[in-house]
Amino acid sequence: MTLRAILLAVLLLCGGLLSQGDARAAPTGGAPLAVGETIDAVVAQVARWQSRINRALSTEVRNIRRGEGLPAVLALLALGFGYGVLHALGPGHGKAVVAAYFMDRSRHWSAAIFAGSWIALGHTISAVLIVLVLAFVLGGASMEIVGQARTVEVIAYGLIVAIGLWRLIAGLRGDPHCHAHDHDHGHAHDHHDHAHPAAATGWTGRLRQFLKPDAMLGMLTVAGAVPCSGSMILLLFALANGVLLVGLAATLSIAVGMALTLIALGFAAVALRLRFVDRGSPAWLQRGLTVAGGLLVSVVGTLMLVAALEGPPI
Amino acid sequence: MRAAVLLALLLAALPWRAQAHPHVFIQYLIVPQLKDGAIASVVLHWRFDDLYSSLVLGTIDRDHNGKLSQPEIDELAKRVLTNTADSGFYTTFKLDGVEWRAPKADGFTASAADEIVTYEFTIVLPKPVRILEASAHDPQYYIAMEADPKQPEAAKGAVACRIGKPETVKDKTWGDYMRDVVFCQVASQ
Repeated sequence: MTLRAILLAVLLLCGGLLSQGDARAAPTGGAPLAVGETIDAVVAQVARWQSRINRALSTEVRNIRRGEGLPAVLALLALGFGYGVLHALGPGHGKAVVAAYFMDRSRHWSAAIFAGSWIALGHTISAVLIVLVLAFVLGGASMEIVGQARTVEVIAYGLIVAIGLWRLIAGLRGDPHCHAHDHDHGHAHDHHDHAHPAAATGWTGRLRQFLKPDAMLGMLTVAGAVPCSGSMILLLFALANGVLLVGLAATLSIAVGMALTLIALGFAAVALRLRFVDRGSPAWLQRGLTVAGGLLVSVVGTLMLVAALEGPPI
Repeated sequence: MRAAVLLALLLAALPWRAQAHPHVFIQYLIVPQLKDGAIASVVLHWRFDDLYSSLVLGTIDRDHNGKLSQPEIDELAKRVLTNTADSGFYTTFKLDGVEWRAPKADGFTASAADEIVTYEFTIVLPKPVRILEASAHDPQYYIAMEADPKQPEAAKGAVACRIGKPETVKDKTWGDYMRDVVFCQVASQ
């Protein structure tokens, strides 16, 4: 049984490495898989859309600068939303962390909304703070600001790797949820999965439960602390064009778009859990998932850390 | 079964092999320079998107006149060439079928027009060739690089260039759907 869990973890690791690592060395000697080609084609299409949205975003910001008013602002907000949805599909926007969050234990579907919004908002707030503070300190020297943001990235990815490893070890040792404040664990003993205490029902109750400080909330928060480079670049562009407030509004609509993508991923995870894991599955499966989740964020976090350490690509 | 579905979910959640998150967009143009009937060097033009152009101007254009002066260009050259030399300026060449990356670039210059920044620099080939393939690509995909659609008109004289559409390129070096490849050939006399 444990063997199967380990096998699953190894498969995940290989998947992660394959999906991230090949580009640099590109030893594409073997015949590429049809699946790989399809994914590449989809990604190419997403990139083309993003490029088009990028161009449209800058056009709208210039239109607003020229005084085109409300229609241009609305167009900018809509574009920002679309940009956010697409942008969150790329790496470094918390997808692996959301996946690990729902692999770690059984959670209510509302947790998907909280987790997705938490990361997307944090991601945006971090970008806004960095741009505003550094633009003030450095006098608006834009490339330096994007460069400085890398320092924050390095710290955040380092912490994510650390938390991932911690969950991995906890899973391997078989005590994934040995914290004193683990409520889910308590419920299991009551044999009343459907009858939660008052604290965990209703939106405020669920939110309060989501905000209980533990390792996984810490991981979501750290993932949110990584500043969104896309938002930073757009904000700097708005600043250079003298329409900072409009830039801030666009940044917020990017956050809403990113939240949507992350929430969709969370919903998928909850649905899959309900179908395959949460109903009377053996304990080894949950342990395996905790291990795999820890492994997933450690591997992806390490790859992101290495990329951030490499310095500015241009 | 359970494992398979969860695996599928996780792989979908992972950053993909080719990643959809470019922050900088470059249109590149490759202009072959002929010497004694063969391509001896190429001039690369990198044309940036509006947002990144604004970043560059905000940093480099200290007098905010929308133009790049020689001292400003010199500062930019130092920065760009340091950051991109390791990657061979993101450009892979195939010279008579042999893969090659440039260790250095010459004659860097940059210009700004209508708030769009363009870099220009020369790569001297190790030997003159009649058939050249080249493709610019950032494996981290921080920069999305695509061949300028004006590429066919950019090559002058006896040399003709075309852009290989990614979908039609099947080759070990270019084994990647994300990239354009520029094919240039000197016409035989």
